[in-house]
Amino acid sequence: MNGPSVSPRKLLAIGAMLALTVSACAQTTVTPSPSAAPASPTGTAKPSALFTRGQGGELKVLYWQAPTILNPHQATGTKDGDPSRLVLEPLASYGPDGKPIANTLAASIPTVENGGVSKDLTTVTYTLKPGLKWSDGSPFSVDDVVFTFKYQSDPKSAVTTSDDVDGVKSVEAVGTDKIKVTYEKPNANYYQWGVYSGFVLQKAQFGSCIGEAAAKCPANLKPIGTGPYKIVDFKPNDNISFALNENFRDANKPFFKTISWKGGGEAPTAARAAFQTGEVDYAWNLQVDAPLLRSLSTASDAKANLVTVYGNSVERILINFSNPDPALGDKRAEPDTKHPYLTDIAVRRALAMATDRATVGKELYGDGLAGKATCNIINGPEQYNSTATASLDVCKFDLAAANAELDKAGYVKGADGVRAKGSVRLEMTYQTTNSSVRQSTQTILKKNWEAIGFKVTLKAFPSSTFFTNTSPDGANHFWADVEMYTSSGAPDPILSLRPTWTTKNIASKANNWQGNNYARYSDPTYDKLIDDLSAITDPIKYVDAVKAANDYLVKNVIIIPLVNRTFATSGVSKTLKGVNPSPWDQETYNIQDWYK
Amino acid sequence: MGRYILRRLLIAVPTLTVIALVIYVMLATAPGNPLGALANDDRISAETRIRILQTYGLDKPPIERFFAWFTAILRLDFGDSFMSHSPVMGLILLALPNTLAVVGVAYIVGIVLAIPIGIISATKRYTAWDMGATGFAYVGFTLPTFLTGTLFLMIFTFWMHWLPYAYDSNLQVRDLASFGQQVKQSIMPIMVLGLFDTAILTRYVRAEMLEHLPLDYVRTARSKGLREQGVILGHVLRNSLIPVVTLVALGIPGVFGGAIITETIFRVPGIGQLLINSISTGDIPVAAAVLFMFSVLVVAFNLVADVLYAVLDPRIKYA
Repeated sequence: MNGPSVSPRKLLAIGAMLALTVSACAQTTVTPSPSAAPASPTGTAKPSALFTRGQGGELKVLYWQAPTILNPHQATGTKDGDPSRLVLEPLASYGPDGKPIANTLAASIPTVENGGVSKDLTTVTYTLKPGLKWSDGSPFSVDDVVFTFKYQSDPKSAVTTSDDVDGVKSVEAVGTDKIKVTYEKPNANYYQWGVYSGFVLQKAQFGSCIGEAAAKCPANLKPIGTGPYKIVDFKPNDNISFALNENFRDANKPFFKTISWKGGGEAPTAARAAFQTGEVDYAWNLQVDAPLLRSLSTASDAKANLVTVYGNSVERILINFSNPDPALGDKRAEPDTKHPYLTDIAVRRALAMATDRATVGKELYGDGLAGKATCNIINGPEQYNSTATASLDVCKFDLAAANAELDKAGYVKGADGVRAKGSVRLEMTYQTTNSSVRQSTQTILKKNWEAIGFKVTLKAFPSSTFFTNTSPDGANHFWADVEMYTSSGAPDPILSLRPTWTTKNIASKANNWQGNNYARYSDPTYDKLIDDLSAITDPIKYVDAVKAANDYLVKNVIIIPLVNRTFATSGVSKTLKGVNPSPWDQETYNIQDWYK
Repeated sequence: MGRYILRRLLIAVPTLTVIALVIYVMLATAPGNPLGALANDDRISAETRIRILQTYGLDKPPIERFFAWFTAILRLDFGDSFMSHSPVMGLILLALPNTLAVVGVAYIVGIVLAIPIGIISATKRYTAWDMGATGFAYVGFTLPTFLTGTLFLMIFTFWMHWLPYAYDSNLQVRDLASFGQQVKQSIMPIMVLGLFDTAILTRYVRAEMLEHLPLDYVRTARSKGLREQGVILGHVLRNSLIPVVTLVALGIPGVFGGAIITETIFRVPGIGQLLINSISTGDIPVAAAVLFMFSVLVVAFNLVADVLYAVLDPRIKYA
């Protein structure tokens, strides 16, 4: 479970006109429900009367991964992106329900109804809040926004956020308070650049840091921003000291005078520092064994509450459609090879029916504590969740049915209890990363699958060697029969559905295993489903098409979803209020509203 | 002696070159890259990944990268971190004081404790004192630091609530109160590492003392009528310490290398944490610099130890 937890860094949304329902679910939480959160599109309904600026002292935050850089465009993980958000802001954020909220630079959320989004979905015009200032006191200008786009789209800047500008034709200033984003073609995901993306850099500070100079820029470690806090001191790999930004746009915010942001260590003691001693007010990503997490967070003298929220972070079993047999040499697991038995739908169906996801969800993820069993690959925002899969036979744990399926397909049990059809024996290698939860999952599923006549060899690798295209033990090479990990999703499901299973994205030697379709799954029917999906602009039809793609993958056992893991799993001091994590944005997206 | 030192220094050049090559090529060919944390993020396209890895020069063969790196460090340029985009040297200088304040102090504590315990243990051989000291030493070096560290943290921080859970590198010692805070935040890692160092050194001091106690010159000293204290401290200890001093010198590079496990457990942002983080994130410039500097120190202190040996023991002559 300690695979890198990836926040949806790049998000695209299908549009504010969708009547999205609430997908966030709070655990034992003090936070207001999402509907009570400052999620109003105008961004004016703020609980600003609750406190005054600088009323509080120090807020102590603990991330057990230490920050290394504070420019989100150069960041390579949540550990950097989350703290940088206190300083550098996008035009707007994504709220807990997947809808944009104007809690940052834009005065309101542009929509087709209010004319902010053109009818053909090619231009989006944001109006800035009046009188915005940088934390150094200088006035914020539309030029800064235009500059940021230029910075991001220069290939030599080598930003990790360059996919946000993909397909964006221009970002221009209109007058002194409007920003017009133009896409190359109608874009159903018209908040692609602007909402939780395009974090605005100060032109004066980063002007000389564009292109090749971007990497070596000292400003990356101390950016000037518009956010509620400013950086006083940053020690990479260690800690950050923040102080409140006197020039912040909301005169009553933020509440805390300073924030001490400590990084490093590991999750179990971070959990204890939050729940047992209360030394920290906010502890990030407490992915520890479910029983420990439960006992710590429910202890009568616990100093903190466990705050969780569900997004679309699905622990899944990937099925290899190519042949990973080492005897193939250079051809091993290349897309033109065929897996000896996993290309047989009967075997895949049997495998799925022999997968006891309920036990995994209950025993290892605490039944809702850190995750819950799911048979969907798309698990949010809520309206995309398919209800059709629940009744599918491949979603029900039934060893007898699984055995019958294999009998019917002609796989006969040998003397050693392993089934075979001719020379094809059902022997498989099942790989994942090192983590106690994942190894326990492997043990449970191995037992399940061996009960129906598979022979399963388990393998586990450190996540640093697993999540890389260069390692033969990696998820990309997929030199195994099945593998397991979590991938997180954006509010727009096509961002998971397209790269992971379409033919164009197959990982192979030719593209140095850089494609995201590790399963080497190639199916014209599915490719067409996704092509059609991306052409849909009607939100209702879009939802139906997403569900259809989800059902197609599950029904044909192209993937076996196991558990929808919590997006945020934070220890939040019982005295700290206003925390309301959004699975579609960063945990710190509303830190200006936090108070005690 | 001068020629000896010169020769050793000349031999160090090829030695370090080979070490550098091995370190760099191992790091460069190890799996893992700076985008590892984003690796299972479907929303970052292959093109973006490739472009970023190219700016790090990771598309070039390891040997070519090694030569570029090695010629740069000959000019004392250790390059920039892939993760922080800032000079590696700056990151090392940020981490070093924390390592010295914890690992360095623990080493000094180890030395200061080991010598008297070793002496008492040797002179009062097979008494309760000796048994206690020997038992302590065995416990000290058989218990791994990840166990003692975790135990200390559980007891003193999470159970008793006496000591802080993390090391605050921003703390500046100005007065008695802040010194007290420094003691509180560093006492646990110092105890864990100091226990280990003490245990090992105690065994050496004791063994050396026992070897010297029955020798003729000791009997001579006693028969001259010297007080027992003078015999032990002035004669036996002086001679026994010669190998101990060299051992201490050989351990100094380890102080600068940090303590990966202990630093992680107690959240001390030192060299050990810097190294392990840089390895796991594929931050080759940082990992290579830390490992290479460590190698330079090992080679240098080996020479220092040998020279010290000759200085302390006039019977040894290098030609």
